[in-house]
Amino acid sequence: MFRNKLTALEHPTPDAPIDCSNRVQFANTVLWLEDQKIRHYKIEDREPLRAIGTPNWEKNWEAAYEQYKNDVGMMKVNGPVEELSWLLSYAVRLEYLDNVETFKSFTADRVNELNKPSKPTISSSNPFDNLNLVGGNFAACVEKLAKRLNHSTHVDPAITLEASARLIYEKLRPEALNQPKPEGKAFPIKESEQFMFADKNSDEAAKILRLLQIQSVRNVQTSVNENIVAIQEITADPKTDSKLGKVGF
Amino acid sequence: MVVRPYDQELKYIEKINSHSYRIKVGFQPNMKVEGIFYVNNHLEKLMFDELRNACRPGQMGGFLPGVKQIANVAALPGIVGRSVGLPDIHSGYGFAIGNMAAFDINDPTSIVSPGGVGFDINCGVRLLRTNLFEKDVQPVKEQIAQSLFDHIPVGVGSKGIIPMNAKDLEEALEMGMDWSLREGYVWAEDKEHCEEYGRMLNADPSKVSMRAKKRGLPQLGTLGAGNHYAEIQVVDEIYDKFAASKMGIEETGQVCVMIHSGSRGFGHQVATDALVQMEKAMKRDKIETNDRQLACARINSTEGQDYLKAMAAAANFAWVNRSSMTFLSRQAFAKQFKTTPDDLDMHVIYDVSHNVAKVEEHMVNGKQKTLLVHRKGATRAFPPHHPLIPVDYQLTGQPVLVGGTMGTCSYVLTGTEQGMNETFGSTCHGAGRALSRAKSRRNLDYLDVLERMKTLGIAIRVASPKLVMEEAPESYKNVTDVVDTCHAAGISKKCMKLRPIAVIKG
Repeated sequence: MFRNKLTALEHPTPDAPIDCSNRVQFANTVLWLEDQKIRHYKIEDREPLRAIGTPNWEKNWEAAYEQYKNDVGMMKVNGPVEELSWLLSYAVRLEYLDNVETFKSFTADRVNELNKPSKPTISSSNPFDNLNLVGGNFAACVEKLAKRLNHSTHVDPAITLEASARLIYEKLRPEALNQPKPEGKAFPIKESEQFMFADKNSDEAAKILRLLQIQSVRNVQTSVNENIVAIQEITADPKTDSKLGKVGF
Repeated sequence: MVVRPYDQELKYIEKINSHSYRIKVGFQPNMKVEGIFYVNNHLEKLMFDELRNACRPGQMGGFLPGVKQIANVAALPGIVGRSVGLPDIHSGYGFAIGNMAAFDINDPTSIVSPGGVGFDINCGVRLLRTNLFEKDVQPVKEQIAQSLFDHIPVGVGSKGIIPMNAKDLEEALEMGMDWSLREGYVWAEDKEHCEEYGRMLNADPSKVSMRAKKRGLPQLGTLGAGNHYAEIQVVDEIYDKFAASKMGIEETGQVCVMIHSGSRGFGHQVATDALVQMEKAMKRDKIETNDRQLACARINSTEGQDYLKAMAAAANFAWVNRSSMTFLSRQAFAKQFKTTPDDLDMHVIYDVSHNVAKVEEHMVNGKQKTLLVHRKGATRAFPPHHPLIPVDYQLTGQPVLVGGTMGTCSYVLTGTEQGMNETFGSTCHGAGRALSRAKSRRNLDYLDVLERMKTLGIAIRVASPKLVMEEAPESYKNVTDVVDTCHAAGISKKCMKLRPIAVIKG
């Protein structure tokens, strides 16, 4: 009960139902409204309303509440539920009047619009998100691409596609194409001595894996160096003072 | 030391193959493992002459011959594998310089010895490349040598020009090259091309004496004296084209800068302080060694741990030192050629440590073990595919920078699998002394030495010319012999040869 009004008033527990037949709860809610929102009395004049829970408090409190109803100008209503409802509405009205400019624009249409579930408006620009990765068509196309790029295929087309992507990234993207060819001779992989296995093919595979691993360690080292340089921007301040120097004897 | 007639001593030394000799158990008392040393015909003669001289009656005092020192190290508690002598070996304090030995960390009796690291902790070599060629530098080599000499403080008692206070030093000791990075003296890429990424993580400046810090503070960013130098070098020959190109060296004639320096007085003080502590620890734990200079402590004792933490701080000091000189060299070049170090492509090819003890994983008799590897006057040389080397060198193996002597050439080698198996991934570090400093001073004239440099077409700037004969090529073994031995023995592989055109020395 009163959830909407309590939410509007930023009550700390708007979802907890208020039991109006419980006089303590009722009295506390009235006091919260007066203290936080309505503020009809000066702070010191709120004392009689505050005396909740002390021995024989009801008598004094009821008298004070009667007086309060008169003072805020509550109209004749039936029972505590309607009374509290009136007080809440009154508090909401006061809040509204305090900030008319802010709330003016909140018309019913506007609220409806705000309440509409927001649809995802960003449509994916990545065509791979919509790819069907299981169909036979996909596998056939991946194989075709691999053939075009002249690399071997894997039973799992997703892995084959990854290989194609890597090859394109390393060799065919504009930055890679514009890079000057590395100078010097390539590592003579075929003529180099046995690395791990007696079997020639396995050994060559092992060598290739080793080269790939070296390449990835090189990338790690390069990014470490970049980080060091970035930090040097902040810390570095090399100085020399030739006055300090003394040469020989 | 056991003194036997020379021909009886020889019974304990057995030739394994054309490039290595075995030192059998029994050569010195209490040997736990065998010794091995790598030589070729020339170097072999030096080794055996040294032993023969020591066997003559009445020869006492001075350092023990290298073979005896290798054998004494083989008698230290907890040693595994073999005590290894590299081709550039010569007598040193406790351990010979050019001796490496590994100790099992999980053996409670294993020891750590400051004599196995040396006094110049993390002395090492750094090589910078440039995109300049000899023809660009030859005409201005005098100016650029002078410019380097003006930028890098050199010589005994020299002081650095990078302003540092006590707090900066504490941070630098803890952070190593990360400090240089933070302050902006070096590039991010420098760190990846450095052993240990230029920072020993177990460094603890609170384990370093006040005295060491006081000595170290003004010396940061200075080259030092002795065998330390900065050289402008030219790529003379390329043996391994692929590996060289991985290092950014495409052709002969390309110009590089080599910086050879260490932890200066700081490392020396750390080592001295530790030796005092360790003598006490030896008495307490009843550790017996064949040589008083082999002072050591159990790795897991307080003294052992304190030394390792202080040594790590000294190692960090050396990296900051080389980094500061990298910065100064880049400035000198940029000024001379009126451009930026970036445009000169002055990247660090690699930075190796010569004198250090490190915790590493190695296979010993088919089992993986955690070892404390002492390398004194030895360079780590990890093979291709080793996880601790930079990603750029994963296929070639770790670059090994071998500095020659003043006026002779330097080499870049790469690590091999065979080296990993035979020498715990270690190889030579330089030429190795043949004459003692005193002997060099007696036999050579410094003016002759300087004149020789001139005729070789090498610009030279020396802070203390009267000491230059100590570093003359005559005082050293032939670096080419040393490197060829390592290559022939398979413990590392030749990649390229560099020849100096300008030298800056202490």
